Amino acid sequence: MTRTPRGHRLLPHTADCIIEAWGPDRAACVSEALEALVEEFAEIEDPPSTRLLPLSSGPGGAEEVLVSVLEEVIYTLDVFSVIPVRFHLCDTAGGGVSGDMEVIPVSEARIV
Amino acid sequence: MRAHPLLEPVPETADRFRLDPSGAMRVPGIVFASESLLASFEDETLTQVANVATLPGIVEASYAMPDAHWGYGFPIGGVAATDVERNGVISPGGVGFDISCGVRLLVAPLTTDEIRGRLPAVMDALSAMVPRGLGRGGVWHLSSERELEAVLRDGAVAAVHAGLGDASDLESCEDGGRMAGADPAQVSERARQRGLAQVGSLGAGNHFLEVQSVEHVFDEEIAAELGLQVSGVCVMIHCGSRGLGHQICSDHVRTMLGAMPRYGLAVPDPQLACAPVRSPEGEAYLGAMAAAANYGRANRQALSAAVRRAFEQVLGTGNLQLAYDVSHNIAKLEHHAVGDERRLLCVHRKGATLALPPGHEDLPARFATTGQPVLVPGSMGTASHVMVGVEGGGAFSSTCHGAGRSMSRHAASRRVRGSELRRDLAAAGIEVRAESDRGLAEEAPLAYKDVDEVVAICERAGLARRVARLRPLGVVKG
Repeated sequence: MTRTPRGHRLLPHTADCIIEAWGPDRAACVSEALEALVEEFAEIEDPPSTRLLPLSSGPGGAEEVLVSVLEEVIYTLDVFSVIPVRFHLCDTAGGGVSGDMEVIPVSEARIV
Repeated sequence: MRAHPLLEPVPETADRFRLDPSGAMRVPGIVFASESLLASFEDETLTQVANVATLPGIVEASYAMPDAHWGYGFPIGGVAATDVERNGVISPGGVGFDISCGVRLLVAPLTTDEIRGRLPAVMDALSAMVPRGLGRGGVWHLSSERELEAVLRDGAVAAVHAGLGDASDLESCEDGGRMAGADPAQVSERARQRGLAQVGSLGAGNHFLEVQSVEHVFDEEIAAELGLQVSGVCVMIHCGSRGLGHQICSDHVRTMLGAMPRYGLAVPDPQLACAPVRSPEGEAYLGAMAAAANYGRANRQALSAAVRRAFEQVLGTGNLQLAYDVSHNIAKLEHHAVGDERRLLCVHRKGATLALPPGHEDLPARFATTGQPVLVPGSMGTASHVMVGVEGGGAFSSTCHGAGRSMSRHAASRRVRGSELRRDLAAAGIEVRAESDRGLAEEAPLAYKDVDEVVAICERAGLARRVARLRPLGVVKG
C-alpha cells in the first residue's frame, strides 16, 4: 500500500479502537492523530463557522506530547462542549507542538 | 492455534483453564471459560492476563472472567489481588478509565402486560429525561463546588440528601452508596471541571438504560427478596463516573509512571503503571478513586430519580424499588484467605463484579441470607441476568460483569447497518431510543459474546449462581 505523506486510519481494538497516524513532522503526525480521534465519535460536514482555541503541549517525548494533546481535546469537549474540526500545529523546541484548533459547538456535529 | 505456545492455557476443569507462569509472571493466569468460548479469546487478552501476573505483590492468580476481552493494560474482565502489607501495588489500569462503572436495577410495581401499550410513551419520556451522549448535561445541576465535594465524599448518600431518591435506596447499594476513604483533595481541578456538569447522565459507548421484563426465575426465594417475579418490569441503568473518572485515571497513571523508578518497579505495558498501595502515590490514587466511585454512584442515583419521574408522568407510579447497585470497575481493600493466612488484599476488578457469599460481614442486612446480588447486563437487545454470590466463590468472590465484547466497534459497524438493526429490534418488540445508527451498530449483539453462556460458565465454575433472566422491552442508548 502506498502511503500519502500524511494521513491516519482507525484500526480495530476490542475495547475501542487504535489510531494510526503519520506525517512528515511531529506536528503533522499529531494533527492527523487528533483528526482520527474526532472522526471516531463525530461526523462533521463543512461547518459554517468556527472559533479558535489554543492547543499546545509542553516539551517532551513523542508519546508524552501525543497523549497530552489527545487529552486536551477530550477535556475541551467535556468542559466547553465544543468539537475541534481542524488543527493548525507547529513543532516547537524540545519536541512539543503548539498552535490552535478550530472548534464548533457539539450541537452542530453529528455524534456517532 | 495461539501465536505463542505459552499462551495455550491448560484445562483444570471444563470451565477453568490455567496459564502456567513463565518469564516474569509471579503467579499463574486462570481463565474461566468453556473450551469453545476460550477459543474465541484473542491472543492479546491472554497476553494481558499474563502481563497482570507480573505485578509486584500479586497473589494466587491473574484471573479472567468468561466475558474477558482485550483491554488497555489489564484485560477487561480481569481480577487481580495484591498483598497490601507485602509491597503489593495498586494500578489505576486495573480499575479502568471509567471508575465505578456499574449497574443498578430498579423494580417497578407493574407487569409486562400492564406496561405494554404505554411502552412507546414510557420510552419517549425516558429519552427526554435521561441526558446522554458526549459532553455536558446531567439530571442533577450542581450549584457549587461544595455540592461536588459532597458528591465525591458521600456518593449516592449526597444524591439522596439532595432529594434524588429515598434513604431506603441506600440499603440496597454496595457500601451503602458511599465508598469509604474518598479524598476529594486528590481529585484534580481538571477532573472537577469535567465532573461538575455531568452528574446524572449516561454518557456514550456501551452505556444504556433499559426497561426489562423478568422472563425467567431460577431461584424463586432470592428473586422474591429482590422484588423480581416472572413478567414483572424493571429498569437497568449501566453507566459510570463520566469525564471525572477518566481524568482521575489519566492523572494518576501519569504520576505513577513518573514514580515507578523510585520504587524499582517495571511493568511490561505502560497501562499497568502502578505504585505500592502503601505509598503516597498509591494512597493518593485510592483516595481519588473512591471519590470517583462515589461520583459514579451519585450518578446512578440521580438517574434513578429521572426514571421514577418518567414512570410517574406516563404510568402514574414512580414507586420503583431499588434491587441493587454495584460497581464493576473498582479496586477495594478486602480481607481474604491466602493459603493458611488471612491477608489484607487490594482486589482490582476491571469489568468484573464483587459477588459476596451469604453471611459475609460486608453484606447489607437485606442480603445476609441470599448473598450479594450481581447484575449482569447483556448486549443491547439480548437478555441480562441477575446472579448472587455463593459460598466458596473463587477469584476473591468475583464474577462476570456482562456479555463481553467479541468484536471491535468498527468491525461491528462494518458488519451491521444501524438502520437494519433498529428495524430488527422493533420487529422483536424492543423500543430503541438511540441518537445515531452508527452508534447503534457498534453495540449490535453480534459484537458480544453470548451472555447466557457467560453466566452459565460462572455458575458451573462456582463463582455465582443465577437468580433471574431479564429480557429488554426498551433501550435508551448512551
